[in-house]
Amino acid sequence: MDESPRERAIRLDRTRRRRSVVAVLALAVSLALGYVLCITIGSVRMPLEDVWAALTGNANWADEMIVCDIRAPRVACAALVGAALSISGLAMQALFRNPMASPSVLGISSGASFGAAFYIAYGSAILMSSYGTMLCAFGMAMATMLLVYGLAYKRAGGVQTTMLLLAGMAVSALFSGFTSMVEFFSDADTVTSIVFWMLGSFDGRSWSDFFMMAAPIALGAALVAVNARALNLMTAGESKAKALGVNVRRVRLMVLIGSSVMVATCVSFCGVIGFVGLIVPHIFRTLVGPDHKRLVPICALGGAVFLMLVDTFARGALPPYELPVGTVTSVIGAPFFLWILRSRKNEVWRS
Amino acid sequence: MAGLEVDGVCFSHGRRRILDGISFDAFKGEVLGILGQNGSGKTTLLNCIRAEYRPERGKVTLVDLSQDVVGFMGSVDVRDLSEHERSQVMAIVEQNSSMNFPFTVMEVVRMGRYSRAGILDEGSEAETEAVCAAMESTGVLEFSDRDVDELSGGEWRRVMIAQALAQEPEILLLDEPTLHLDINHQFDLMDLCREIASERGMLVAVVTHDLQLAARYCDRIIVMKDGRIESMGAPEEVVTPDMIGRVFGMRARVEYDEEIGGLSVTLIGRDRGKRRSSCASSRCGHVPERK
Repeated sequence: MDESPRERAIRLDRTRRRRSVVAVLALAVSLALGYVLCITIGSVRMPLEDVWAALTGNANWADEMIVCDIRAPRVACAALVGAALSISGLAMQALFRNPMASPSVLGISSGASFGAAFYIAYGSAILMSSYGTMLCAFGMAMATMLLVYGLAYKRAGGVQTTMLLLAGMAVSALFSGFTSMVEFFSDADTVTSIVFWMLGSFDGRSWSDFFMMAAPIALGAALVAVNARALNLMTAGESKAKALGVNVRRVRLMVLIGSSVMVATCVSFCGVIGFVGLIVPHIFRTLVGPDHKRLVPICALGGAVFLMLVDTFARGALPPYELPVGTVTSVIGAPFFLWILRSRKNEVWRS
Repeated sequence: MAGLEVDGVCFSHGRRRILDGISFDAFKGEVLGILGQNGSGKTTLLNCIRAEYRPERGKVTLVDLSQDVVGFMGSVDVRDLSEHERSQVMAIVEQNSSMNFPFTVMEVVRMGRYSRAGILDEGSEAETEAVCAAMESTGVLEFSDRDVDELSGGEWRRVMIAQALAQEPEILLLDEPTLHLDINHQFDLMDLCREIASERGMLVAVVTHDLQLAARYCDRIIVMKDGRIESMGAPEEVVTPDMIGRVFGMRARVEYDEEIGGLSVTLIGRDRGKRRSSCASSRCGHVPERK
C-alpha cells in the first residue's frame, strides 16, 4: 500500500530520533568498556583479569592501589572533564551561532590560568594549601565571567551577544598578558611549573578530586540541559527565538553560568585542555543532526569517551614519558577533526 | 470587536523619525494589507506590534482574545506580555531569516510548538498531528525530511510560514511573504491567508509592496508613506490610480474584474513629470527628519 506524505514524514522523523537513541546506547557501552580498557594501560601494563580482580577487591595491595587509587580516579576524571568541556562547547556554539566558539571563548580559561600562575609564583607566601592553585584558578575564572558579563551589559538593551564575544576575546588577551608578565618576573623553575600546569594533565587526580569536580559540573550540565530545547530555537537568532516564545535573557544567563562553572571547574583541577570543546560537538552534529535535546547527552558521553582515550594515549604512547594531555588533544584532535569535516559532503555549518 | 489596537505609535532610529503617529484598529478574521514603498516604515511598524521595538509614544494593545493571557482585563499592552504568552497570541514570519544548523524541515516547524508543548509531549500523537497539519497547509510536507540548508528561498519561506502556523496564533504577521515565491505559490499563499483568516478567525497582517496581490486578497489596506498612514480602508476605496501615483509614482489602471471577483491593477509605467521629486525621495528610503 502506498504511504501518504504524512506517514512518510512521521516515519522519517522517527528514524532520525531512533538513530540518536542508538548513538546514546552505543556511546554508553563504549564508555563502560573504554573505562576498564583504559585502566589496563599505563607505565605498568595490567591484564584485564587483574584489573577486574582489583576492582572487585580480590588482588594484592600493589595492584589494588594502582587500579583503584591511581588509574580508576584518573580515567574517571578525564571522562568527566571531557563531558563537561564538550557540553560547554556545544552550548557556546549554539548561543553565539558561531562554529568557532569554544569553552575558552569567554576568556574563562585565560582568567583561570592567570589565577593559577599567580598562585604558583607568589601564592605560597600568602596561603599554603594543596588546593591553593585550584582555588585561585577557580576564583579567577568566576571573576573573569562576571567581568566579561558586566562589560557586555548595557543598561538600555541588556546583554548583547556580539559584545559578549568581543569582551571575552579582549579579556582573554588581557589575562594572557598578565600571565606572561608573571612568567617574565619568575625564575626558571616557577616558569616550568606554570607551563606544565597550563598544558593540562590528569596526573595525580584522586577520587576526592573527582567528587569535588562532579558537583559543580553536574550543576552546570543541568543548567545547559534544561535549556536544550530553547538552544535549538536560539540557533535561529535571538529575535526569532523571542518570537517563538523563548525567554532569551533567562536562557542565555543560565547557559552562560552553566558552561562557565563547568569550564572553571575543569581548568582549575586539570589545567587548560583545548580543542575538546570545539571538535566533539562538531563531530556529533555531523552524525546525529543539530537537535540539542539529543546532542547534550550524546556530546556528554562522546566527549567523555574521547578525552578518556586521548589521556590513555598520552600515558601509554611513549613510556616511560607521559605526554601532557592538552597537547595530545590538539595533535590527535586537529587532523581527526579535519578528516571528519572533509569526509562529509554536507556542509556542517552554513554561514 | 477588535483584535489589535495601534494607538499613536511613534518610533525613531536615532534622529530619524520612522513612524509618526500610527493609529488603526485591526480585526480578527480579516486579512489586513500594509502597503508602502521601501523605507516607509512598514517593517518598523511590524516590529512595534510584536514588541521587538519599544515605541517612543503610543502603544499597541491586544483586545478581546480567546486566549486566557488577557485575563479579566479584556485588553493588554503587547509589551506587558512575556515572550511565552506573546508567542501564543502572535506569530511572525520575518523578511530575512536563516538557520545556521542543518535541521530538517520537520524539526524547524516543530520549533513553532515551543510554547505550546512541553519537552515530554513532543513525540505525542497530538503534537505530531499539529506539526504535520501546519506543514501540509503550506505544502512542505513532501520534503519534511530535507535539511533546511538545501532549500530554495521560496521553499524556506513556506517552511517559516508553516512554523508560524504551528504556533496556533490569533494574529499572524507576515513581512513580505510573497517575496522569492513562484507566481503559483504566491497565489497559493494568499489563498491560504484568506482561508486561515476566515476559518480560524485569525487576524492576518501582510506587509507587502505587491499592489496587485494586496488589492485582490486583502479585506482592508493601510497605505503608508514616510512613516504615516496615507490612506486606509477597503481595497476599492484605497487602491485608486490617484493613490498609486501619489505613493508609488506609477501610472496605473484599476478596474473591477468579474472573473477575479475583485480589483485588477494594471501598472502602465512610471509616472514621470509633476511628481518626480517626491517619488525620487521616497524611492531611496529618505524620511524627513521632522515635520
